Amino acid sequence: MNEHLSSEQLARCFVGGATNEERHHIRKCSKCSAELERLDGVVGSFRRAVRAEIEHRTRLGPSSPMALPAIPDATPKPAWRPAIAAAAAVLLGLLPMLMTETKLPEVTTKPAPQESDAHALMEAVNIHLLRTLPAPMERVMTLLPQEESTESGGIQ
Amino acid sequence: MKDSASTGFIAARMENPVLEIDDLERFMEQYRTRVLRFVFASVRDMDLAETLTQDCFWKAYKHRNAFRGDCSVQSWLMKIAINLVRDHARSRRFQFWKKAERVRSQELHAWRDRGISPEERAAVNEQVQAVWDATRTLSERQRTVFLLRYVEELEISEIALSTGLTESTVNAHLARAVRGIRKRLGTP
Repeated sequence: MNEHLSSEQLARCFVGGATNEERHHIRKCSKCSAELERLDGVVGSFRRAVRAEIEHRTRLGPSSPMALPAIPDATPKPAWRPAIAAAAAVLLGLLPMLMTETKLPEVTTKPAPQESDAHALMEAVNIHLLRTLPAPMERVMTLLPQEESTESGGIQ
Repeated sequence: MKDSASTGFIAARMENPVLEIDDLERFMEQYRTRVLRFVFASVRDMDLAETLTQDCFWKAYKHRNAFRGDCSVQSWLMKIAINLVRDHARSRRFQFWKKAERVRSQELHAWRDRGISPEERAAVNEQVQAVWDATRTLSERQRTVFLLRYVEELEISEIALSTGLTESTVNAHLARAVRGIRKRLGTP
């Protein structure tokens, strides 16, 4: 080993990673042990300085007050709630407009075509039910001479 | 009766550290100074340190259920603080602060070592300021482990847990940091 510990060795000794040989040297070498003591003193002063600085500044009060973060409710709110609320608000806002615009057509015109459709359908059903022959046969019946039909009816 | 109830509560908190975090006010009161000190020494700006410290507690509270208790609450908090400081250092906002700091270097004003002569005090102040300046020249990891070890006085194992490094890596970074600071201090 050289006369004194190198910078690297001193740093390693300071952080507690000294080898047995280095430890032995420090015990014997006053210069190296003094250097470690000096370093220890400077780092200790630095620690006290930083701590005092924080104490001093916190005693003065933080420049921006450190408020406690807002604590959310115990039950987490679902993400869709605000969306639903917004949609409801929009709908409520639009509702009067929609009602005034659609009120008249809904009341007067819409039911009418539905009713006429129903009547037409019922008529078609009635006609179909009143048939004496199936619909495809009706065309054939028109081809038959009228007399035959009366003759056959002449049985009476 | 009251004693047994409080003992029961402490025991429950030791078993389930989430309970400790649940009481946010008490939790902040207990750890705020340590976190603020570390963050301030890292970013060297009090306003920023206060903001990041608040963020740290907010994150801890928000993710308290993810804390499994495999390290101490303090190590866990420091881990969050380290990440916040790192994230901030990488952000553009912090680059601005870094540039601003070159012009206006913050000094440690409050410290007054009583019981020594004015000459000695001046010499010690100069050394303290040299260490303060030297920490700025260290790499991010070197600075982090140095501050955790010599300002917060955490054990190497705790630093390893907080930084996610192995103990030998922490020791290596620490030795390099001390070497850098010693170089800055100059030989006596």
